[in-house]
Amino acid sequence: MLIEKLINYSPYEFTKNKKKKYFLKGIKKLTKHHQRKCKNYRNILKIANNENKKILGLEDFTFLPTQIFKRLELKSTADNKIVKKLVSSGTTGVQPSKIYLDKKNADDQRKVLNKIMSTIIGNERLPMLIVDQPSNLNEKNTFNARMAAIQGFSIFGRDHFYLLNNKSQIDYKNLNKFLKKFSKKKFIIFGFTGTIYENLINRLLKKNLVKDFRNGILIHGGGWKKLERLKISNKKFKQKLFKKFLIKDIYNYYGLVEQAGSLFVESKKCGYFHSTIFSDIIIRDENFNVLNKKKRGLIQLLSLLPSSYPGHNILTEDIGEIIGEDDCSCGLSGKYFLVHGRAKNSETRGCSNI
Amino acid sequence: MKNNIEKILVGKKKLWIQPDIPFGLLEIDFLDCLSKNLLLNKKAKSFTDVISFAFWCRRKNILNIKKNIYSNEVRVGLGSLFHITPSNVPLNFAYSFVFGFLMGNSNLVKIPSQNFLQTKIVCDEIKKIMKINKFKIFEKKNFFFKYDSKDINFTKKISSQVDGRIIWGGDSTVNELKILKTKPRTKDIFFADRFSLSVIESKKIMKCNQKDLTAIAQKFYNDGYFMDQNACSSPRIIIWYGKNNDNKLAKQKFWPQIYKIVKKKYSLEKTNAVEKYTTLCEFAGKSKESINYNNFKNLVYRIELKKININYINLKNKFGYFYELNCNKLEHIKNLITEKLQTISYFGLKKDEIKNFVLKYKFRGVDRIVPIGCSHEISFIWDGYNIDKQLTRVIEIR
Repeated sequence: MLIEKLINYSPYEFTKNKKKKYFLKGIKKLTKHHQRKCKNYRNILKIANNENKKILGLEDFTFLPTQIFKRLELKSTADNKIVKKLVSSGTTGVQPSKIYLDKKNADDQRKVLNKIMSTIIGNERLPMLIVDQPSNLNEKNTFNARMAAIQGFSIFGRDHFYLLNNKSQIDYKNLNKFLKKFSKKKFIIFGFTGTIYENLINRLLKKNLVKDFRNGILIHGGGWKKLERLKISNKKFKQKLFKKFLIKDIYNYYGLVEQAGSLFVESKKCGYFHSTIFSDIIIRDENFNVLNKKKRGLIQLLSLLPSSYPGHNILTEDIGEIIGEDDCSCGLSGKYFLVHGRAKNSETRGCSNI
Repeated sequence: MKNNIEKILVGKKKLWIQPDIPFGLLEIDFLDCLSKNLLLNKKAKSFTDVISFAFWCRRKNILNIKKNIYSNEVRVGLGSLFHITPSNVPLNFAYSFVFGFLMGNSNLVKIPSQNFLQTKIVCDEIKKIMKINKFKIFEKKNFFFKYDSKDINFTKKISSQVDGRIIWGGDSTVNELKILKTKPRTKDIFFADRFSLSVIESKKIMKCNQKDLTAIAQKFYNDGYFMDQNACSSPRIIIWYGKNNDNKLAKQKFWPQIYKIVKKKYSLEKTNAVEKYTTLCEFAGKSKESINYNNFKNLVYRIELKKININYINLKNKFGYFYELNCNKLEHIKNLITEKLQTISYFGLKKDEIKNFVLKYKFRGVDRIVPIGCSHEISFIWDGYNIDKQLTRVIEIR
């Protein structure tokens, strides 16, 4: 019910005080719901509640670590209601994480993503260039994070065109066809940060293009491990795209597969990610103490969407920093923050090689 | 051979193989010199593991070891040894090398692939000392190098030529190397994945004054937090030995002391904190019984169990994460003594009590019974092996 109500507002409409009450209530309700429906989750709450902590604020709820979806089956819906399964593209030998969606959860994701994205692309469907290759479903209704994101974002577009063919080569012929037809007006360019870097910035030969990308709205996110390794900052990434293609509208997003839908989009004016009326963020240190703004720590994300699996309150291994709340120069409400990448994994010591 | 080696840290490429008598005077001289140099090395000062190694290989200690394992047998080194050491422990290679070296062997030592400063400090000193005239012979007999352990062909080649292999690195490495062909008489020492536990007598903790308590807490810290509790000799389960009420009181007295030390000395990395929490959540999710849990600001996880179901414990708990169990008879922990159990460290109860228990039931596990504080003291007896005997052969003379 809450989602249906919230969907009528702008994602950045509420300030702290307005959000506080319904958001806390929403998380409380979700916690109870999952506690009832998911045995493994119930067991986890049992152990954490042993300290008899009182719930005064959002930070008092028990959070789950991202990796737990790899180790335990966590679902709060009946098996016959599952319509979609998201799996992480885990490396071999490691269990992939599994997220189960029923119709309501999948619908909510779509609606909320739509709401958030409409603030940057409007309500009209635009032609869409996908910087990736078309992928085939191996197993019915099972998606990896990559496929899920492409599928999720595809609904904002029309006349979808995949830049890469099945052999991962750039399809110049059809790219030029696409550009000739659509590049005079606004169109969407979507892809993973690393894939965009590799293919648009590095591989694509400008001399083969008949038109430029100046009317493109580029949306990218996820998979920034590679850029981190190459030491390419977000700023440099944008500069490169502008220099080569004259793309000005570039939006970075941050989110978890476990909380697909309620993602965080970088505001163009200020360059910070903003929480929405559907989501919240908390930063914690290694003792899991809550940190104040402008302190770097582990990112914990809360979302009102996950109803068919207990993913509403998640501790990540990403390092971030809240800059402020409701007073951002860009005018959007909510907490605004930076993501500084994955927490450094100090090499685990020990006798056995890992 | 050259192409596969990423980096040679010490030694000549052509290994000179000349078996020797164990505990050679020149070898002891060399190690003493290494010890002295390391203790004087300014860069080494901040590394406790380098300092412990330096103390361990000084003349006095080596002569002590020699005395302890002395026998009338005539022994001689096997010849050449291949040491595969774990990539995530800085100085394991150094101990492994000393084992082989002191027993009169030529050594091919794989250095951890990660760049640890400690590894470099020790290698640099070894290299320097080998330039001294009287030790030059060792430069021909010992070779320290880095290579990509995924390069199985290289591992295969060396395995087929050496007289002995010391293989650290746990089950996966052991399994990989076990299937490689060696010479028929090649001797192997395999170090598989193991776990360890501690037994603490509650009454004894109750009797401790503050000074004793601090001392035992410090010892426990050394055992429990060394190498992030991720060594095979790190205690992962704590057995409280005594009546239930005594156990309860002892725990109340004991753990805050541990917390005090950990807070001061241990630095918990953020990712490790998340991993520890993930292990806890996984355990909680799978566990059927109610669990009492305490976390001391994330630094000391204590999970009190009524009984232990070994299936639910993956025994990968680390970074200061302990399962606890009450027992008033050692018989209650019989099901824990599996072949995977390496060390029982103890406090309070007499070692004979544990010895008699272990001998009575003739378990397949337990290779070490040592006081708390000595869990990681490596010696020529380790993990159930007499390493000195393994790395030499005996000549029967009648």
